[in-house]
Amino acid sequence: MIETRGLTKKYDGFQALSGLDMTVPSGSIYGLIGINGSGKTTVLRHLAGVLRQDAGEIRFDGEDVWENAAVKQHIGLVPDDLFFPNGYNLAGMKKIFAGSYAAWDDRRFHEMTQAFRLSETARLRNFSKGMKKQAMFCLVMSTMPKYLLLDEPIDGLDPIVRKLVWKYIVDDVADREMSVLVSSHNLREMEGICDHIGILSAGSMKMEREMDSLRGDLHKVQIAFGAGVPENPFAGLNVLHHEKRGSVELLLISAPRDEIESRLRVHDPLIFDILPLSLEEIFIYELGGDDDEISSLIF
Amino acid sequence: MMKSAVSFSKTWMRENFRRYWIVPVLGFMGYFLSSILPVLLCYQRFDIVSSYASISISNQNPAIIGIDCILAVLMAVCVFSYLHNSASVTMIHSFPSGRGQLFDASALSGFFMMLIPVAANGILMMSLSGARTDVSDTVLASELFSPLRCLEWIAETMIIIFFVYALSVLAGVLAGNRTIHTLLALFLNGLPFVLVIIIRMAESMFLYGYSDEILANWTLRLSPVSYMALKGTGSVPSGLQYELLYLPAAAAVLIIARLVYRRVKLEREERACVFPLIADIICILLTFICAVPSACLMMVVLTSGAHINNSFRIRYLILFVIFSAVYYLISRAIADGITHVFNRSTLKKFGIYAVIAAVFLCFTVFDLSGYSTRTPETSDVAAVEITADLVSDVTGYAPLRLTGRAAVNKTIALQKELIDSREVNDADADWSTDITITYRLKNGTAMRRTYSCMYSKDHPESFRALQTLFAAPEVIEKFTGRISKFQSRASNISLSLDETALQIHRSDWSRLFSAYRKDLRSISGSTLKTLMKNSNLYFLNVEQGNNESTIYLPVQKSDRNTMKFLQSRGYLKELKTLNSESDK
Repeated sequence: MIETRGLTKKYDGFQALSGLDMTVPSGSIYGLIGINGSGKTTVLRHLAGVLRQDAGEIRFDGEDVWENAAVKQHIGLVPDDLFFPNGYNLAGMKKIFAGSYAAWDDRRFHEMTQAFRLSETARLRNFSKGMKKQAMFCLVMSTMPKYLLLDEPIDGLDPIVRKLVWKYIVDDVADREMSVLVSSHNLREMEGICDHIGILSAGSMKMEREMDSLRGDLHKVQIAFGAGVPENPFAGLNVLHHEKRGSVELLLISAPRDEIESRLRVHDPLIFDILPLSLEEIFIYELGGDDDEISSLIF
Repeated sequence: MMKSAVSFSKTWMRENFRRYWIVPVLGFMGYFLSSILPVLLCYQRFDIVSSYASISISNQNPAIIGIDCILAVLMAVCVFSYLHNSASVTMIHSFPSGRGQLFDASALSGFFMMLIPVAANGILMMSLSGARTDVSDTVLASELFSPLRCLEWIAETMIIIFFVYALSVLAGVLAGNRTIHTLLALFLNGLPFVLVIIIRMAESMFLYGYSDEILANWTLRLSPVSYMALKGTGSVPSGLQYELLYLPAAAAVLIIARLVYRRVKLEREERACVFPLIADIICILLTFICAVPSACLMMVVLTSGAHINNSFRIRYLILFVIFSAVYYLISRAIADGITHVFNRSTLKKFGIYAVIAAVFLCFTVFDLSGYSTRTPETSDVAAVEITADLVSDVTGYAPLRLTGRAAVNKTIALQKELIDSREVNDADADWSTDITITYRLKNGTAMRRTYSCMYSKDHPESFRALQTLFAAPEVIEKFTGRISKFQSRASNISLSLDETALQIHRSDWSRLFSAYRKDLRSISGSTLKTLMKNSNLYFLNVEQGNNESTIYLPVQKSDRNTMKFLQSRGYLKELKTLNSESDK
């Protein structure tokens, strides 16, 4: 499990993180989402032990990560901004990783480089952005990490490679109970992979939920009652957003689907559609602007 | 597949060797070309390069010292280059290692990479001991390149490199990018020299009599680079045991760098300086170092040697303020990485600089401490040492040390006259000589002043004071005592006129020196004038010991006893004949 409690960081007068509480359960894939500048990369750098927080704690299965080489042995970070020393190829980088991580798996490395069709002898500076990302992914995954931190892992990858990346991640989560924290803007892809979601806004956690309960709770409803509009048909329901377009009413309701159906069908609506919100729509709702902007994006 | 006994530190060190091997190779080539190749090319004629080899093996070869400094700075920039890029900072610090271990691995790998070319070159130097020459009186290659001396060279070179490297590593931890790292490394290593030059420039302009040798010597000892240069002058004790003191100093710098590294906020990488306070300090220092000489040079250009008066001081102040503002804004722009530096924060920090500069100006431009006019009390002086060009030949270039109360009083009187005559224009003087007075005070401190003592028909007071001093019995006794010492250590004496020299027979030495001492006892004002005019006719060249040194004693027409003796023995006539023959 990865935990942060009250994580706070300020630099140059800017509050990057503000009392962030986050829990990544063991063997889960946690998606960290947020608008640009919300602090996602800063969180990952703190978790990897690169930056030191001003206040708060970061623990990996109860152990503090700061200056803890033993904990960092089990952490793998694939950053968004990649670095390879000048003149190096994958074989050279392999030596660095193999010499640094006790759990390095040579066989796995060769298997992955072949699966991704990466040359171990070609200079990394000649790789495309996507290939560099794949290369870093192979290196990090071959250290057999217990905790995998990914910053925009599929940015720049083609659909086939993306599938392969997720396959390796999901397999390791299933086989080894690896805990994964992934930050990405590709919410559609994350929706299909992540089992936990955290929405970051202005350095603090706006919402943190299991994916199933999130989907189960938030629904988009379109309803029209016809001539006899009942009085207060939505009483007892947690209506988060409500607008009218002509005779059709558009709502965001936080309640189980069954409850919504049972409460609204009694009024015999002419039109009644109930849809789960996608992750993207949840993100927009949680972090979007005023009601007009939300409705134009969601409805 | 599990691996045991992995170590990021060892891996990182190995990778640094792999990435930066070219630097020690270049270092070795530099050393080889500077120290080994010249001897190899003259292997059978070692006399041609013996002087060069001598300064090389004693670490006074500027080329080799330059290579030492470049190697150390370059190595530090290379091994800590990962600190100056956001992507490399993230990746390297995410590896399983603490910051302290990462610092140790980087610093050690750089150190060992510098050791290799030095050790290799030092060992190769031993092979030069077989160089030959047929010319006698040439220092032997076997002595110069003995195993012990070569090992000493290795040790001294590593001391220089280690010290420069330590400061460069500290610069790397403080700097946020490679350019600033390089500049800061050069700045930190050059700071003692630069400060000495700057302070000397300002204080010699405004503080009449300013003599900086004490400050300069102590400041220049702060670095082994300058220490090696001073070693050759004899003004510092030389020997490996003194040079070894730089090792703990360098180690302390590295420890500080390590502590700072553990605290550095890596989110500030790629800025000019990762610590805002350090950036502020550097801006202040840079501004000061640039503004002082700029204002001084501008004043020299604008006033062409005018006397220091209130008008001069005010103009200097105005220039200093203008230059300070400009340089501060420039350095602030570099430190902050922005061009819009006109803000309240910059103004506040400039205010801090202004306070420091004001203190400096008070003691320099306005001489609030009274440096220019201060003279000691006779009762406070244990001894006084005088160095004057016009008698340096007689004293053998050593200071004249006087302890008698009368001599001390006359020295103080001379100093007072020199202070009173400071307004006298150099252009009005007929002749002048530089004179340095050092008072060794009873409290253990020293007070030193340097003046230009002029002879001017309209203002003869200081010259008369000088004459009074040199006529003092203790001074005469010291002069004659020196001559006796030269006489006792003389191995060969010749009389020279222009380029022509004539041997003095050993049987004549005793009477010759006797006559010379007699002339010294009656040293007169006209003698001093003649010495100031530097129109000595003849010189007695007195070789000391076994080719150790030669003393050049001036012989003037006014030295009646000496001239009479030389005339009576026929030396003057013979020398004139030889001289006219050589003219033809």
